[in-house]
Amino acid sequence: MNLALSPSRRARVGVYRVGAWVLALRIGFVATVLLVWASVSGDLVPGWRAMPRALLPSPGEVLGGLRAYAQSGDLVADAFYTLSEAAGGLALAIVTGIAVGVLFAYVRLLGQAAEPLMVAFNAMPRYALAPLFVIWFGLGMASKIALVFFAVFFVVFFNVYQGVQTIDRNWVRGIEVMGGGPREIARYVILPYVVSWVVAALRTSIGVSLGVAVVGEFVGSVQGLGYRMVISVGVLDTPRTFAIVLILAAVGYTIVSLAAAVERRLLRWQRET
Amino acid sequence: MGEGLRIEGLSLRFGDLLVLDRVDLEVGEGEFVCLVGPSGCGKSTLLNVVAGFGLPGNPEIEGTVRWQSRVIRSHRDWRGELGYVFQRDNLLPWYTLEQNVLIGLRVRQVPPHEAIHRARQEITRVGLGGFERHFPHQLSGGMRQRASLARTLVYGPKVLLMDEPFGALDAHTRMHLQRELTGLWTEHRTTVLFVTHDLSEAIILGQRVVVLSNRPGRVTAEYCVPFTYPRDPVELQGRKEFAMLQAEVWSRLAEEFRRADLYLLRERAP
Repeated sequence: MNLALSPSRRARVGVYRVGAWVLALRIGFVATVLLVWASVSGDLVPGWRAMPRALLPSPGEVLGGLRAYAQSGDLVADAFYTLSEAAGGLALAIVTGIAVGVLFAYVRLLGQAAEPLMVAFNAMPRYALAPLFVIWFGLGMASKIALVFFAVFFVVFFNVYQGVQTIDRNWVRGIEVMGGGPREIARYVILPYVVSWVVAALRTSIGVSLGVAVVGEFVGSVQGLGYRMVISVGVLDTPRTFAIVLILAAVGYTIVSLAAAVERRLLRWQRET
Repeated sequence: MGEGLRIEGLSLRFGDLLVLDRVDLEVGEGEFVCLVGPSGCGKSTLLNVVAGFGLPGNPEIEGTVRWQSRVIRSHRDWRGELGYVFQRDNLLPWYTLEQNVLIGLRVRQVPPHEAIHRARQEITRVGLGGFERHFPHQLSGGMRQRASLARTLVYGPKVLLMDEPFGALDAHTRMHLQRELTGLWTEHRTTVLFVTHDLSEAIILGQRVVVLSNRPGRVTAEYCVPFTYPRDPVELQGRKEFAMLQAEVWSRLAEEFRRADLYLLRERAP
């Protein structure tokens, strides 16, 4: 069963160059979507809109919502709150995922014993346990950090666990022949290899952690982008809801691009075909 | 010869399967010996036992391996005096050529400045100057085997085990590397045990050719190769003495290959 993302396969999905024509078409595509949106929501034809503001605010109204949100001072605080939850859970998941993955791969009996349970956990929709986590860890950050950790840990674990098992025996033998011991084997073979598998899982994991933090806030929170979204929907302040969706998209796009750049840099030793 | 590499009464079995049967083999210090035999006769296993690697499947091993009268039970007993070139290169794919060559020196704690100097020198010696910053996947099969050779020779091992290092290369590249290997050996005079299933390669390279029988592997014959070093494979293969020696060894080896085929047929029969 291959649950891990192979580093080489992930490395191929990068930013690639496109011609001027494709670029023009892309811009045209976005412009068309915006135009249709603006025309049915009252920005183009004053006094006429196909849908009420509460259902579909116009682009201008969303910008207004964004401005109001930023001026209230909540935006930065909320974004920081949600990003902290995502980053905290992700960092915990990476550290423990590596530790447990290496441990289970080397202590074969332990790995074999735990494998079915790990597969079962990996297969279930873990964010569905959000309400439970809020009961256990409260409305603050802790419950969302725990939820993000729970969601991402298994991805990192399986990548490391299966990665370590594909270490070429002759890589290790090469170090042994040179007179190297376990420390050199760990330093030159195991560590770089494991890191490459974690990096391969990083991009997906970042996206998942942000999404899970927001979903966790839907269920129960006192701050954060997800929390603010639920409130704005409750009072039918849809311009603000849309503004938050835009923020999430921008933040997600930025950090995933950053992760992709890190990945390209760290995994440049891999075959690009 | 006495003080070189001595393999005495080495037997190895996996349960009921006897792979090596009382193998006796001596490689004198500074000698180049080639070991030939049909596929599956345990040549690689023999090298792995000599190297002291942990083998999968926990085989029973009898007999002794000695280097300069020191008994070798594990790779640790070599104390870093061993070099091993594998059939498939085992360069670490996340390091550049230069970093790969440096590892052996780093493990030995050679000062960084000297290490880099020696690594570059060795890379140039095997003809890879200019490729220091390339990753293994950017090198061809022949270049990767040269790199493996550089990575091994750079730390000056006293014994070199080679397991069909040119087996996966095309004929042209193989001949190039054979000539270069005899050239390097003329310089270094390392003790070499070279395993191959290619008889002409064995005669091109070795001072002595040892024939291992079909499974269970044991030494059935050995031949001295009279040619001087460095050797040129193309010129050598044109000589009458070469052809005669090859015919002589082949008459012995052919029987082992035939038995190996029969054995495989029998194994596959329902």
